[in-house]
Amino acid sequence: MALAGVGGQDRKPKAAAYGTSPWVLVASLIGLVIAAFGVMALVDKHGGVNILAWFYDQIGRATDATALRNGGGDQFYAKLILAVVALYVGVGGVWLVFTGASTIVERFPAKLRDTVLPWIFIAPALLLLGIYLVYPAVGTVIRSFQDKQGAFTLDNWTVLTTGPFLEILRNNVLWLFITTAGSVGLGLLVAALFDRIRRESLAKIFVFTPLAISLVGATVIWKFVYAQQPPSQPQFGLLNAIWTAFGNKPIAWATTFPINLPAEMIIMIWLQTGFAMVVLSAAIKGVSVEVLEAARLDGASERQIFFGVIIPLIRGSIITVTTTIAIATLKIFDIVWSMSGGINHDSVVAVRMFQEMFQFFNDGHAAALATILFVAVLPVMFLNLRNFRRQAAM
Amino acid sequence: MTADAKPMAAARVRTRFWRAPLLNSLPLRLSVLVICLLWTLPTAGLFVTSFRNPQLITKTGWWDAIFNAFAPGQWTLSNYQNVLGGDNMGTAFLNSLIVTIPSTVIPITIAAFAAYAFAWIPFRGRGIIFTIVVALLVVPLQMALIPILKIYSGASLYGTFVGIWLAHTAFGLPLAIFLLYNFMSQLPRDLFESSSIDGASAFQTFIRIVLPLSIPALGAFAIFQFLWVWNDLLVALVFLGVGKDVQVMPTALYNMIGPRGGAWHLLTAGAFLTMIVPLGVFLALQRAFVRGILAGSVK
Amino acid sequence: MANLPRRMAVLSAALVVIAGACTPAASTAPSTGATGAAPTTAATGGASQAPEATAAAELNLPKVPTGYTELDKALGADKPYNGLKVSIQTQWTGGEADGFAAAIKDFQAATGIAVQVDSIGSSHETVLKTRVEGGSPPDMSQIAQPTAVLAYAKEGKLIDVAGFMDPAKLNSEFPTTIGLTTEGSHIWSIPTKADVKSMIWYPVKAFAAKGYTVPKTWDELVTLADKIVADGSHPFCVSAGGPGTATGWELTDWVEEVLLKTEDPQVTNDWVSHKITFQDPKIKAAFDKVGSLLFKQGYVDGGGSQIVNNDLKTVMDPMFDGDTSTPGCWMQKIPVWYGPDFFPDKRTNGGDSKYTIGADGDIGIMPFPTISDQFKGAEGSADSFMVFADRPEVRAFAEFLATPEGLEGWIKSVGVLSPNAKVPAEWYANNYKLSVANQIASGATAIGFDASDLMPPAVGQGSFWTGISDWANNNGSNTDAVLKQIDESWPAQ
Repeated sequence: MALAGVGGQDRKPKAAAYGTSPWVLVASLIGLVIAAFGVMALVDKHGGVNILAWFYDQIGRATDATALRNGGGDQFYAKLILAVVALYVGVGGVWLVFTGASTIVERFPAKLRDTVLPWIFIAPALLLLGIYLVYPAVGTVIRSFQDKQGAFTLDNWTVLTTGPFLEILRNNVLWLFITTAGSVGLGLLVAALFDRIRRESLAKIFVFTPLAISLVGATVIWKFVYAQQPPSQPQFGLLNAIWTAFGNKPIAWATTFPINLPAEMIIMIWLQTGFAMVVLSAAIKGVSVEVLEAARLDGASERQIFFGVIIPLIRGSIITVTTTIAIATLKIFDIVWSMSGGINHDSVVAVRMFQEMFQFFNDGHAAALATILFVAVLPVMFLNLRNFRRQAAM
Repeated sequence: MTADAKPMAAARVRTRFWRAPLLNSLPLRLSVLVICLLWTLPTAGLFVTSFRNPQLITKTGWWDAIFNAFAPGQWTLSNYQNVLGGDNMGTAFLNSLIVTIPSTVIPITIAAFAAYAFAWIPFRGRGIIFTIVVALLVVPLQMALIPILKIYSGASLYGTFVGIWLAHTAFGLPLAIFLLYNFMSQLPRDLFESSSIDGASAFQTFIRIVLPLSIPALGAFAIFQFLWVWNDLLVALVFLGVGKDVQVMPTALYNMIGPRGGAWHLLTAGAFLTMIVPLGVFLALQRAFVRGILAGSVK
Repeated sequence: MANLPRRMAVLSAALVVIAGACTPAASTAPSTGATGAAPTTAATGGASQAPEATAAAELNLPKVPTGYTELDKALGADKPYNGLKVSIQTQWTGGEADGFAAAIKDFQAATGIAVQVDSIGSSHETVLKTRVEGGSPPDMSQIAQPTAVLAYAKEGKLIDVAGFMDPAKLNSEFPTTIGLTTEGSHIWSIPTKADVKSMIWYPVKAFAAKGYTVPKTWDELVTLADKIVADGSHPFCVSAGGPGTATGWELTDWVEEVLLKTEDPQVTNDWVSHKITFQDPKIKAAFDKVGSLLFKQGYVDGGGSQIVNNDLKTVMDPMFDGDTSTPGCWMQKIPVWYGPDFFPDKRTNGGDSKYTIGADGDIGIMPFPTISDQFKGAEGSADSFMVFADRPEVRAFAEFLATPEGLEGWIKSVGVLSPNAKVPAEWYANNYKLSVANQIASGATAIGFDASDLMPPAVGQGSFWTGISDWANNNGSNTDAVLKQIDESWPAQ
C-alpha cells in the first residue's frame, strides 16, 4: 500500500512535490501517537479483547463486553481488530517514523541537514542489528573461548581438529562450492532461457514454486523422491521406482554415504535456483535495449551477446546472488537435519552446532562452530566490497 | 539515458530482448519444458499425494494414482477436511497474517532507507559500517535466540506480536540491505546530481526517485522475506509460543501432525494450503516487477 | 564422579519400575478399584450434582492429607490458589497430550489452578533451553534425559524439589527412578512416566496359524527366526531412522538389552560411567550378539542399510500385511508406547485402530527372551518433571504429579506406566500392554535404565547413534573401528 502511494506521487509536478508541507509533520506526529497506542494494545496479551469490549461498552452491549473479557464471545472479531491494529502499527508506524524525522531534519540548515540525514536513514537499521545480531555475535565469539565455568580456554577450538569435526568441515566446503555453483549456474540459465519464451511468468512460477513450500513440505516432497523400501516391497519413492525399473537394487539415497551428500545438495539447488532466477532475470531485463541493439549491429551472435555483453553487465547481480546463496549454504541446517539428522557422515557445521547447543549442552563448542562460520564468510564479503568499490569508481 | 526522473517513455518499453524467431526454436522449447518438468515433478508428487487415500500413500507410488485414476477409493478430500477442520485454523491463519505482513514491510522500509544512505550519501565510516552490516548475514539464528529472549524477558516482549516483528525484521535486515544496496548502487549517478541541483534533500530524492526505481528489487526481497516468515516455525515457537491465541499456521499444522506422527496425508495437504498465500504474493509481485521494468531500464 | 553411585543405571535386586507389581490388588485402596473402572462417568455424575458431593475417591485426586504441604492446602475447601496459573512445557502431542490432559483435569477443577500446557513436539528441547537460558522458563517442564536435568541443575536453573517435598517419601515412592536425578541431598526432578523396553511385538494370529511359539530364550528366538526365513518371510522389523531428529536408539536399545541379559548389571553401570570403554570385550560381545542376529541374511528385509533407512513410524507396517495374516516382518522390539498409535490405520486416519492388542488379539507382546540363566535384567526409561519456579501453586501442582493419582487419569484413559511404587496394580489390570509391562518388570532380576540416556549427551545422543548407524550400514563388519570411534568421542573428565 505504502509502495503504491509513493509510486503514484511520481507523476506530480516536480516543483509542488519538493516543497514539504508542515502538515506532513503534524500528520505524522498524530499518526505516531495513534501508533503508540497501537503498540500498547499489541504488547498487552488481551489487547484485541479490551478494544472490542470497550467498544461494546460504548454502544451499550455490556453483556457482550463481559463475555469477551471472560474469554468467550466474539473472540474472532477481537482478533480481527487486533490484526487491523497490528497492520496499522507495523506497516504505517515505521513509515511515519521516517517521514516525521526527515521532515524535522529538513528544516535544519543545509549543511547540518546533510550531515544528520544519513544517520537518520541508517539509525533504525543499526539499532535493530546491534541488539539482535551484533550483541549475540560478540557474545558468541567470547563464549567460544570460555569453558563451562567462564574461564579462558582453547579447548573449544582444539576439539574442532578431531575426526568427526574435520568430516563436518569437509562436508560444508563441498556444500559451499557445489550448491552455490549449481544454483547460480542453473538460475542464470533458466533466467536467460525463460526470457525468450512467450509465457515467461508461467514458466517462472514452475521454478519458483519450491521457494513457496515450507520446509516441512519440502522435506515430505523429497522423502517421496528418495524413499526406499526393501527390495521385496514396491518402491513408492520416485527415484527408486525408476532405478529398480532398470533391474537395479533399490538404494537408500538419503542415508547411504557418500550418495547422500549429492542427494541432499540437490534439494538445496532445487530450492535456490528459483531465487537466483528471480534476481538474475530482473537484472537481465535491466540491460538496456540500446546496448543490445548496438551489439547486434556489430554482428554479434546471440551467444556472444549473452557472454560478452549481458553477463559483464549483470556481474554485480551475479555476485550478489552468489554471495547470498553461498552464505545460505554455509548455514545449511534444515535439509540435512530433516533428511537424515546428519547421522551418516553427512553432518554439517550448523547441524553440529545445533546439537552441541541444544542436545549436548556444550555451548562452548557451539560458539566455536558459529565463529567458524563467521570467519569463513569474511573473504566472501571482502570480494564483494572490492566489487562495490570498483563499481563506485566507475 | 536521460537525467529525467520520469523515464516513462513508452517507446523503450519492452519485456524481452531476444530476437523473435528464437521463440519458435524447438530445442529451446524442449529445454524449457524439461526444466519446468524437473522442477515440478517432486511438487506434483506432493500435490497428488495430498488427494490420495491415506492408506495407499506408503503402499504405492503417487504416479500409480494417476495411472489408476478411476479406481474406487483412490481419491479423497478428507485430508484437506482434516487440516481445515483442525482446531483454530482460522485464528492461526489470521495470526500468520498479523505476523507476516509487518515482518515483511518493516524490514523492507528500514533497509531501503539504509541501503540508499550506504549507496549514495557520503558520510564518515560508511564503508566499515556497511561491511559489518552485511557480514551479519552469517550470524546463525540459533545463536541469537537466547540473548534476545533474555532482553525480551526483561522488556515483557515475550509472546507478543511486536516482539516477533522486531526479531524477524532484524534477522531479515542484512540480506535486505545487501540486496537493495546492490540494486540502488547501480542506479545512474546523473539522476542524483540533477535532483540535488534542483534543491531536493536526500529524503525527497529517495521518495521521488530511488523508491519508484527500486520496485523490482523491493518486490524480489519482499517475496523472500514473506516466504521466510510465513513458513518459519522456530522463531515463532521461541518468541510467540504455542498458546492458542498467538499460534501461527506452521505451529498449528505441526501440532496437528505431531512429532512422531507419520501423517503424511495431513502434511501434504497442509503443505499445499500454506503454499497458496505465498504463491499469490508472488503472482501479485510479478506485476510489480513489470512495473519496475516499465519505470526505466537500469544501465 | 562422586555422585555416580547414586545415579546408577541399574538397580540390582528385584526392584521394579512399576510398583504394585508384586502386590496383590487387594492390598491397596479398594475405593479406586471399584468405582474407578469408569472414571469419566463417575466424574460427570459428580459434576451434575452439587460440587461438594464429588468425593475425592471418584475423581483422579489424592486423598487429603497427601503428605505434601502445598497440595493439601490447594485441595482445601477454600481453594486458596483459585484463579492462579501454572505453565508446563511438554514434548507430548497427540495421544500422550490427551493422556496428560486427562491426568490433570480433576486437579484443575478441584483447586481452581489453571494449568497451561505448552505441547511443543519435536522442537521441545530447543524451545525449552532457549526459554530457560533466556529467562522466560515455563513453571515446569517434562524431559526425557536425566542428563539434561543434571545439566540444567548445574547451571542453577532448577528448583530443588527436596526443598518442598519430603525426600524420604519421594525415595520410597520412586525407588528405582528418583536416584537418576539425585545429587547429594538435592533432588532435581520428579519421575513422571515410565516405560518398559524389554518387549517384542508380534502378530498373534499369524503365529498361531504357522504354529510358531513365543520364544522364551535367545536360542529359541534364533530357531524361530530361521524358521520364518525358511518360510519365505523376514523375522525382524528394526529401524534406526526417522525424520526430524536422527534416531539410532532402537538399535542402541538392542545392544543395551543384550548387555543386561548377558552380564552383571554392574557392567552396564561401569559402561555408563566410562569405567569400562566401548572397546571392552563385554560390550563388544553384546554388539556382536546383536549383529549376529539382525545382520544375518534375510533376518531383516534389506539388511543393515535398510535398518538405517527404516522409519520408526512405518517400520512395523509389513506386520499388518493381509490384516496381520501374512506378515512381512514378525517381531519388533519397541517400548510400551508404540501401539496402537503407530499401527498403520490409526497413524494415518486417527481415531481408533481396528487392530487389537492382546494375548488373543491381533498384535501381542512378548517379553524379550532370556539369554543367560543368571542375568535377567530388563530395560526401562522414565521421563521427569523439572521445576523452574518456586511459587505455592507450582509446588502444589508438582506435588500432585508426584502422587499416584497424579497419573491416574492418564493410566485409565490412554494408558501409561507410572514410576510411582504406590500405584495399585489393578489400575493396569484392564490394559493388556500395561500388565505385560508390569509382568516383565516384576520378573526381572534388575531394571536397567536406558544406558544411552545416561551417557554424556554427546555420546548417548551423538556418537553412539552415528556409530551404530555406521555399523548397521556395514552389516556389522566394522565393529572395532566403530567402537574405537565412539570411545574417542567421550568427552574429557
